[in-house]
Amino acid sequence: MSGASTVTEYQATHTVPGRMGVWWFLASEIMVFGGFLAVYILYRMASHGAWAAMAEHVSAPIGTFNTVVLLTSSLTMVKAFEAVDKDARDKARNYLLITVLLGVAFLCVKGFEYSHEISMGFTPLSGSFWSFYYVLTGLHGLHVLAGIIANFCLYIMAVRGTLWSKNCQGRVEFAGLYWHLVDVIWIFLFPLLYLSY
Amino acid sequence: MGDNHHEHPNYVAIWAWLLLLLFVSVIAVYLPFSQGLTVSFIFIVAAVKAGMVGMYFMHLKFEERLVRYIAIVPVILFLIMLVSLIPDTVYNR
Repeated sequence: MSGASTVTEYQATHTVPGRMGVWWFLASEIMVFGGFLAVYILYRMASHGAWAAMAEHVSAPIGTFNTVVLLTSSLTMVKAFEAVDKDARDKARNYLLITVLLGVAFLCVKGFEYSHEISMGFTPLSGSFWSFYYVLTGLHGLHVLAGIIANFCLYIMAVRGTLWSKNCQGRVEFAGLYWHLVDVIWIFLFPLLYLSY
Repeated sequence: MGDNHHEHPNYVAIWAWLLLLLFVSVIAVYLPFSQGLTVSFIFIVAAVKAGMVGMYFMHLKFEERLVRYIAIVPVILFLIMLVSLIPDTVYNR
């Protein structure tokens, strides 16, 4: 028991090591996306407006809708964390499920968008803008997928009760930090790809 | 849990602000301002939105200093990389 109380004492006064680890991971993610974003911005500036004609073909309304979906999923994720913090187990479970469903909705809309663009003849080989568009949104989409899987695992644990019986509540916060970063990256991708023509 | 002792902020209000800022930046594209002004505006709005998500949803406002440093250092490195390469890209055709 003394070991357990030491951990609690440590957590009360210091940043939990797990959270620190997640933040290191997020910092590396910022550099991964930062590299891609910097190259995109620089190439776009170097094109001196030549990409604008290509960028006009992405759908700002669909992008806006997906931004609303992702911002809302960030809200439900942080509400899940709040519910876990307050030991409101049913609420936590429901918010996790809603977050997963909103993530799936985001990917479905993105898939619809891709199919529409490809049917219009805009593939990754259609020009520099489209290459960047598919790489940036594709990499971001993979991150959304990873977040959905993590959140779904937490939802299953919440349904089974193991989230609490195995004392894994902290994972909701960690998955949430990752999910919010994916949201932050989209907050920049959206104007870069959809609004800058 | 309970290792991060602070009151939870009003997350719904922050979400509403985020949506409001989103729509402001979308509408700004259709207003008759110069492209430079519009692009600057929508990226300032994006930075404010990202800051709000970081501060409140990711709790950086309530975190200790070390975690804030871990979060902000890669952003600064990104900006240095970007700004230092702009002259070469724009002027060296």
